[in-house]
Amino acid sequence: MNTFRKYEFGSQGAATTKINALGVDEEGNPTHSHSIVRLGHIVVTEGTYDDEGEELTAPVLSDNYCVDMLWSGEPDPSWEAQLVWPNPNVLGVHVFGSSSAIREYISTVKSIHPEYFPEPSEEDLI
Amino acid sequence: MSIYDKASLVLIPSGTKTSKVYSQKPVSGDGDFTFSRSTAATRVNADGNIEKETQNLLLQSNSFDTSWTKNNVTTTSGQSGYDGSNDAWLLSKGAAAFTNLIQSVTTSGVNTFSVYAKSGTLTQLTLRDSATNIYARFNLSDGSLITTSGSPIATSIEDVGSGWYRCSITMSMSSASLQIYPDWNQTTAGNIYIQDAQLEQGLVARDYIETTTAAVEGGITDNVPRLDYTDSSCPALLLEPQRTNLITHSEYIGGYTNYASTDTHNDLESPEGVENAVLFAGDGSQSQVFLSTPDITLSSAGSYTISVFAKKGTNDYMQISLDGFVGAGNGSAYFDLENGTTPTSGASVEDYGNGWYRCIVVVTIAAGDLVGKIALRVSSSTSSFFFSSASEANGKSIYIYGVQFEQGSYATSYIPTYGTSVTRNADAALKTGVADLINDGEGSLYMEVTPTNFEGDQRFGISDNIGANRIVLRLFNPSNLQLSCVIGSSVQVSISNNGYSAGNTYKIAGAWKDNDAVIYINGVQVATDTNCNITPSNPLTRISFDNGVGSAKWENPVSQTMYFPTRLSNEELAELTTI
Repeated sequence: MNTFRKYEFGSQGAATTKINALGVDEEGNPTHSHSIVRLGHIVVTEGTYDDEGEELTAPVLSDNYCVDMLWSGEPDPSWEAQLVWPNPNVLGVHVFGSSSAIREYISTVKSIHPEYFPEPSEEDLI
Repeated sequence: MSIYDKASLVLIPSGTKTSKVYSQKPVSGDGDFTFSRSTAATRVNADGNIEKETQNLLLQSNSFDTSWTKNNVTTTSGQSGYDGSNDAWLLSKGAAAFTNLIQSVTTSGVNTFSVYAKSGTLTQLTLRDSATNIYARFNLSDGSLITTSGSPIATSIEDVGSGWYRCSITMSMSSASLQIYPDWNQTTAGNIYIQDAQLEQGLVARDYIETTTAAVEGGITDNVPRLDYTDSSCPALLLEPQRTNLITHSEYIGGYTNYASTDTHNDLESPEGVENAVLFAGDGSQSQVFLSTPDITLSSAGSYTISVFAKKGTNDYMQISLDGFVGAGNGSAYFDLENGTTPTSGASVEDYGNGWYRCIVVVTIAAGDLVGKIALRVSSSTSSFFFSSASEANGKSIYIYGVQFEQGSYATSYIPTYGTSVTRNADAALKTGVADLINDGEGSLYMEVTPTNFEGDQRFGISDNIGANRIVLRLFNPSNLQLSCVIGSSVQVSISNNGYSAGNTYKIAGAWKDNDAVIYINGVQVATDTNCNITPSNPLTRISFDNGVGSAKWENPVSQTMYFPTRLSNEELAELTTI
């Protein structure tokens, strides 16, 4: 069972230190079987552009450096301090293409943050 | 005795199951490869269509008396179904308001909700997501769409015979409460028949998958090996690196910026073989016509590859370009969709049949600006995207499908996305514990491959499973093929040649014993080594598409491999590798 989780670091360097601590060989290849995607500083506010695609206002990027992990098995407990649960889109900007891992992730988010998943009102259900 | 008879392990990829690729030799199954890839993926199947993961996210998809909540309706099983079974249900309502079946589902992005239905005493079916109040109402007596609300992305009603229709509605959703109404009318009692409900990612309903207490995935899902038929009636085992499609919607373009175009989803059959391509046409208001993605932020500079499946409509040409990403190299490319060509250096075109081409351009992103968009233009030629006037652009159209933007210098297989960027993980194939098949002192390795790339360092061979002793065929940047023997952590053989390129077929064989190593490629002896000691310090027990310890994975399609426990003669090696 693989486990999908999201993390934020104060800088790219901090993320790299944590990732390398998972294990790399003398050629820099990972010696672990976890999958890592460095999202970097993601867009939090879209830029604006004119009709010909020229930028009017620059996009606003997150201060933190974002990393998504697909752990082989359970997440490394030492990563707990950087763990985040983005809201409101639940999955954030990126996922690993594993339906079972996504399902487990959504289920976990739902248990920790039920407010992200408002129950339909009586009116909604009519 | 034929050369084939001398092999102790033969893999001609033709049979697989989840987590396994079957070898032809040994017939005992002891040489079958263990396969892993912890995500879904896509391939070109034997019909020439792109094949994805399939799924049904609903529970109890054809048991409407279990996971479904009933609001003033009753359900009766055992009815005659669209498929000749007695698995359909009678859905009956009283003369009351709010009569429906409900199931709550947590999903995300673009999804399609479908149900098979037939008229009973009533003739209408409504499919609705109550969380968003998006719905579509269908007429089951004549197969028409009556109305929609909340702007669904798409709707469909398909006649499947015997009075049955498959009705579907496509919406963006997250926490959904999906409803099936037998009729909207509050004053009339009556019934309709229903069967086989499905919720799946994407713009269209695909083959139905039955579920019970859990959602079900099928097709090319996690750990399913890919036999890929691109450009061939014979499959190759597709092994690829981890890649991320950075485009958040690869098929639905509702979130793209639209300039002087009218865009219609589900207008034509795509390379997937289902009707989910987008018609992208000038509306006549401007002399240029484009779509651009939302902002994309990259984590690093370097080579990236953009790819889009495109087909000519009333217009023959398309441009792909970067917007933003200031300082990027090779930031635009033109494509001729009539002839399947491109005049742009760094761009290429792959023919997917039926008029569809995968248009590819490799760009170089500069470190100074890691944010931008991908723009697609209906262009007037292969040198300009401006038409002579707005009226000239009016109605000029192309079809598009499967937009992909990935880090790397070549395009990999399509990664569909429905609201977030998606990562396909690396493929891995290996077999451990096969010391009985391997002769430590001598041997021969053979591969037939048609590389799509010569990137990085890619290896296939035998090892001791800890890397101190490994004998591999190696492909590496920029154009090299090599036989490498590391024995007792010492390089004993490293013989290679270069000048090879992607898109060509190579039959490669390396053979070794003490003071006698050789490599043949396409029938030609390209290098030898007469000063080597092949006495491994540990038994060789593993055969794998990597360097023997999980790195330097092979990342190209593989048509055939063999291992021989003897050093084949030079005549045999020449015969084996002759194209």
